[in-house]
Amino acid sequence: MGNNTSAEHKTGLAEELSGLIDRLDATERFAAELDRSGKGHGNDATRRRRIAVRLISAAACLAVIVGTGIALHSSYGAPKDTYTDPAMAYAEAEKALMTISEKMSGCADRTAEAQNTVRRQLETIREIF
Amino acid sequence: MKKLMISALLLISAAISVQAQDWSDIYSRYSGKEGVSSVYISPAMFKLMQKLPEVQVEAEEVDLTGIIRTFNGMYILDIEDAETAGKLSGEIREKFDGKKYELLMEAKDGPEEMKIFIVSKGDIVTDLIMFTTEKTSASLIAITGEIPYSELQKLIAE
Amino acid sequence: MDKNEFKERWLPHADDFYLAAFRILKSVPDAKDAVQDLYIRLWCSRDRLDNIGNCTAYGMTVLKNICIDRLRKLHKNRAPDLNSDKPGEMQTDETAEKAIVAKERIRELEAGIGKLPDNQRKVFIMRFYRQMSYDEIAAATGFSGINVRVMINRARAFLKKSVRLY
Repeated sequence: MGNNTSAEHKTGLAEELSGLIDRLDATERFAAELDRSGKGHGNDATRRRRIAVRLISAAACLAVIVGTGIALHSSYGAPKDTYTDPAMAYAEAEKALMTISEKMSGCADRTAEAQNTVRRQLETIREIF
Repeated sequence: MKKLMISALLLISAAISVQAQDWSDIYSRYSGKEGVSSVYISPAMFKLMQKLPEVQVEAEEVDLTGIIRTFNGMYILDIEDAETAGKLSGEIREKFDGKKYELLMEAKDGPEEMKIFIVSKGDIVTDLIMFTTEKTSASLIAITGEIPYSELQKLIAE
Repeated sequence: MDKNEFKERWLPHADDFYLAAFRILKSVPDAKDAVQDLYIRLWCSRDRLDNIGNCTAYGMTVLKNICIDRLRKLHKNRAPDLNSDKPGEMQTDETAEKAIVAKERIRELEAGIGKLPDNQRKVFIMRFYRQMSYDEIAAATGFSGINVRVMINRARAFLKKSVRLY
């Protein structure tokens, strides 16, 4: 139980623990993100923008009533882009597609599974008779 | 006279952009509400995306850049508020009652129900919609564009 | 309490905790394990610990319970522990559960990260472990902003499919 032995391990300990805490934190945040992204795509920017969108819609309504006619054609009723950076918009579009693809593949997998089950059952029946 | 003109113009532009307006309308009505987070990507933004530098694709992954190129608009609504979610569910159910929307697939995973609809003109899909509901939440992804059916199949291959 | 605050508050006591654990368990690896366990539990309940006046005292209490549990398991000693009727014990069991879950999660996630393609793994770690911004990651790796975002998307999608994080 020499003091030397315990001293050797003292120095690295705080660093190791610091690393452990980093990993705990990262894992927690990732798990939380999974939770959120499983449910939604919105982020804080969207929530803040909600107020801006309301004001803009009100202004837009007014413009239509007073009416220039020109404004009506293509942008009538069009909401405002959530992202101003096309790179972010692209990433969001990919994310949405991945969600759709996940669900579609899940469906396809389950259908294939179900088909296999039915096939196996039919084979069993055939064997008996 | 002016009022009549404006109403006439409204009707005409409504008729012209009916499809995009379907989603614009629903989107605008829900995106301001409490418990709703939303994302909208406009045709203009999709055009800007074309100018982006090449996206790297790893070997085993599906390349989504091609299919995204065919998009015109994307509307995403995520609703955590039970009442609002219920309202949207009702609207969507009504909307999809007619013949225009074809149910591509549906799944029930525990409390979660998911439906995927498309609107197509021959081989081209003009609307791709995924609508997911759980007890107190609802999520809508609506994509408009000119998507060849073959591109859609790539999504299943993943 | 965020990560850095937590570290500032609790890491300074690490050596004291270690020595205490060593005195009870008499083994270097066991003492290290016990201290690790302690910190995981502290982390899992950090929101409740904001108002703790004496960190050392609190930590030592939890640590003692951890050491006693370890000794019990090692010696399969079923003799009743007079201390186990204290009200603090219930909380410790709950936290012990959380700690086990937290450890499992780390293991699961890191196993999944190991399976990512090199570029995605690099970028994912920068984002989640080093908390770098997209721009910083782009600058550090030479990838364009859009590629960084796309890679993180894909890493996320892969991990979501292959990792079970209860």
